[in-house]
Amino acid sequence: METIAAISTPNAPGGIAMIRISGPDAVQIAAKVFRPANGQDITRMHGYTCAYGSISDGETLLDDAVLTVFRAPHSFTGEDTAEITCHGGIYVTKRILQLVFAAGAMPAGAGEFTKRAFLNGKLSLTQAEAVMDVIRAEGEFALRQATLARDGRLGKEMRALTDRLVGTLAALSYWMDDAEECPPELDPDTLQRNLSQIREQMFSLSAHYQNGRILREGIRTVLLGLPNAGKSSVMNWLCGSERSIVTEIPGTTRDVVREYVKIDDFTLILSDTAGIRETGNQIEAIGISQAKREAEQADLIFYVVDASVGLSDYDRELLEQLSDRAVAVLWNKTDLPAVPAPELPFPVIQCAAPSERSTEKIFAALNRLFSEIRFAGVPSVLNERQNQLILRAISYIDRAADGLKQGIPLDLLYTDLELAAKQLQEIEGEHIADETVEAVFSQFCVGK
Amino acid sequence: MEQSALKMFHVEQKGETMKILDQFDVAVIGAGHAGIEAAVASAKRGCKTALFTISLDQIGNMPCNPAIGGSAKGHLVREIDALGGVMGKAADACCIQMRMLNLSKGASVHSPRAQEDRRAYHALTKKLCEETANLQVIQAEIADIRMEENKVTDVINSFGGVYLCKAVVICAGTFLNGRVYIGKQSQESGPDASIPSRYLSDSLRQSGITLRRFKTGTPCRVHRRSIDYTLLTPQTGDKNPLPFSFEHECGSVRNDAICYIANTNEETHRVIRENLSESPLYSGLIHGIGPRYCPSIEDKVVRFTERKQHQIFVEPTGIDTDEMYLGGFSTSLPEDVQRKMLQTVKGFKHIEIMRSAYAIEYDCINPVCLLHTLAFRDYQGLYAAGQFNGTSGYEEAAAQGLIAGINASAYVLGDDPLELPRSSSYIGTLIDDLVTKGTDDPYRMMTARSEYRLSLRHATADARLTPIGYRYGLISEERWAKFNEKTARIQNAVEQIRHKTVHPSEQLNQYLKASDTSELTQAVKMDSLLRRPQVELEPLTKAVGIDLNLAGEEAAEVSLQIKYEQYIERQNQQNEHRSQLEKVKLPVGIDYSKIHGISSEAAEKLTKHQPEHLAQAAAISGISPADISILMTWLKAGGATHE
Repeated sequence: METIAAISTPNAPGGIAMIRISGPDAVQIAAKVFRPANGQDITRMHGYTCAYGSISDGETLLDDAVLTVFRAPHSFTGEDTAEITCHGGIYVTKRILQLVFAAGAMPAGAGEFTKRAFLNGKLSLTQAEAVMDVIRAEGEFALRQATLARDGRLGKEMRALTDRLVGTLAALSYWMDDAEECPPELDPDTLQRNLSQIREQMFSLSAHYQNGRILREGIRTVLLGLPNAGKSSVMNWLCGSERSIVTEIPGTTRDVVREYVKIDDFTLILSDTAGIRETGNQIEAIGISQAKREAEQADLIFYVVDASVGLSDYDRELLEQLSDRAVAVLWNKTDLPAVPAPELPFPVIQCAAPSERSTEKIFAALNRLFSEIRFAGVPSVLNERQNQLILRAISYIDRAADGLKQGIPLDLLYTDLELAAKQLQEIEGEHIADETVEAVFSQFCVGK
Repeated sequence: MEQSALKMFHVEQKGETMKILDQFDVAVIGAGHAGIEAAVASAKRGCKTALFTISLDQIGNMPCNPAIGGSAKGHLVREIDALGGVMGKAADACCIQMRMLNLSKGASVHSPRAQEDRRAYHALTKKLCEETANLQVIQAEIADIRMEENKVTDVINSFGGVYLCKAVVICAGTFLNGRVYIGKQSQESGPDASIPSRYLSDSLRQSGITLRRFKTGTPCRVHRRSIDYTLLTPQTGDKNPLPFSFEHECGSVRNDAICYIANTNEETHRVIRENLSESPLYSGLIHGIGPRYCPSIEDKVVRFTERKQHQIFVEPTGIDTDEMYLGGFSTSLPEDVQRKMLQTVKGFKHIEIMRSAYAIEYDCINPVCLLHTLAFRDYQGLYAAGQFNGTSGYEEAAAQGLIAGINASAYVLGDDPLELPRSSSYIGTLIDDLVTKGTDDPYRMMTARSEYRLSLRHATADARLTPIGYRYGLISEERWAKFNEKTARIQNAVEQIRHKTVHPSEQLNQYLKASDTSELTQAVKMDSLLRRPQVELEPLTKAVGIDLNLAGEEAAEVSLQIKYEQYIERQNQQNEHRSQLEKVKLPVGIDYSKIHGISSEAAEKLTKHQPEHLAQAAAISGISPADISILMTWLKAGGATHE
């Protein structure tokens, strides 16, 4: 039985959110992401006990949290369960959930906690039909999605990827099974090349997921810039409210502040970050490293420059580092005596944040930066679960490639590739073993 | 014409009172590789058993290649032996050359293959059947299987003699309405110029069983003296080869025959292409579907135009004969073309053909009408195995025969039926593939067909299956005791390695250095050291200074258990979901359309297929994971008991 996880509180901003992890590895997975304040061993926690601690993504602290452990069968689902309660809004909670997935959980399907609760005898029989309705609805939704996907660009790419992987499996299988025809030795270099191309294709599929997520959930946007460039006033302009604390003192914004902003048909998930600069101040240093981290995860960066000061060397250095990212430069405070904006490889928006009323300028820039995603016509119907499967497939391909380098036996290599293919099989609903056998027959002259 | 054959048979019998000749628990029809296993297993388990064959001189015949084993097939033979079947021991006894295939490709695909003396194999298996208690071998063509209320009552031979029986295992091979083709000429015939079975197909059709036509083919046999071996590549057996049977010692089989490899060339291919119109396959005379894994030479030339040559394996068919088999060269082209083609091959200039190559077409079933026990879903006491079920190969046939024989006898004796899960064996995989997906061409086993490949190594067949064989009374007490000792020794050694802490020492580091792997600087667990690809068990135990007290092949087995452990764990994790579903049985006769929430397409397919468990349901195309979830919920809610 897989261990599953999902955010169990409503998908809306709120003071508290809860992530539920259920299944045999629930507590082990929680132990990988949750750091208890008192340093205790999470895996030894008894049922109905809590621990206070924090959740970090690498070096970056995401949130304080409380972990509650339930031991089978005394939980909602009847399985071992770990519940992480945090304060994050939607964005932070989703990031914590991503960590949970990375630690080995699979996204729960709709109604899956309830289904497990039912199967483990935690719900009464009269609830069975209600459970079936939930599953049915999910099934129909998944089917619609799959049908959509099959017809679209994503479907074609998925097909191409599966074909390639199956082709490689078939070649290996032919070589393994057809001992007597003595086919030519498999060339490890060709195989290695093949694997890295398959890996690339998988990444490009996963990128579709990112695009799809942008359309569904919004563009993760970060405001970056030197202290006092006016990031918070830009934030307030975009949000139309006094969300960030705007002061004259550089370095006021130490935490990350988030807002959902709709600009025409784009949704921005906006975070204002502490200004980036070399600093000796401990607290601010944490904020700054978080800002850099946020920028790495972002889909879009608004780089705010104080037009009255102009572009500093530090700005230039940072912008250079961002050259392959979606960046718009906000040439801010043009109401003050301003330096003219220089030529930059990014769209430049001239503005005077506190007094701006319209977001038209922003919309124009968004249109330019995200036109591909916007006009490709919803290419992506990869959902979270499918994306997780592809990421898993990538990890199997990586291990196969490693194994190939170390010279592990062919049957072990084959098993890793087969596992990779199985992840795709779950998305496509095809039977990989049958497909491989078909491919062997159609591509190779077999047997005697 | 075929429809009237049985009527003719009954007209011929009219006026004669049918005589009851004898009475059996189990009647096995056909004494090929499936029939032998079925009959011997049934008799050994205490059922009074009849083994019917059209000719006593055809028992255990090898009408195609004189070899047993090969990739994945060798696994099947080891599994048959582990369960207490016949084939492994017989093949060891009649072996003339033995090799382990795929040695460079990883332990899970190592597969033994034996060249066999085919007449010796026939004589030995015939004698074995004759000597088996409870088993009567009878020469007769069975014309009719009679049932009352879909329950087997008796079989009738072609002269009207009646044998009462409680269960029947059909192992008809390629005999049912067999028709042999050479070029555009054809005649009714079984394999190797035997009498075909002319009536049984009609009897089955009348009972409502749907039959279809498959085709297979075999190459020429040529005279030993007509080949110039200096132009061919010789192939000899392994030194000290491992036999099939777990009861036989390494190096105990005869192993002195030599095989040879020849090659076709562009001239051969030209002759084939020029004469394609003479082929019954390409001119449309044969409608039966042939095995993709064993294509005729004309198929190979047509489909793989880029290949300039194909291998021909020249194999002796026995010790006391000059007939040589030409593996890889099956064809149904006319005899004159066969000669012309062969003469183009280097070393075959003066070739003397002793038996012409031919194609044979025969009736068989689509095995989706069977259960995992190999019983017919809709009839009681009726079982089927072998080529009749749509497979190809002696080994695939024998594997099914054994399971069908065990289950037919279990049915008579009132024992629990034997259903082998996919995770247990290639036999289980073979049967699950057949009854779940069916097959569109003669099915051949391949290692790629098993998602449990890593744990189904040939050497673990006894650990996986001998306890089952013992439970069904096919393993002697003596063998059982030996097996338990071996298992204990292996387990003990594995435990010792797992718990042993190894400290750096000069001797050990010398060995590690010589094996091209890093030396130890601190103490480690012995198993982690053994997992390094470069490290081998025997020198390691020496360097560490422990004695694991293992015999023969056991050291290799212990080493592989440790080395493959983590991979197998991952493999099993991936398959766990499936094995869970396999455990959830679905009762027979469910009306799926009445289940709340299931899609109408799924309901229709499930009602038609009547899967035995959820894993089988999930393997049906068009059944979604949501449908499976709903079925699970419905079962749990007691749905099946409300029906």
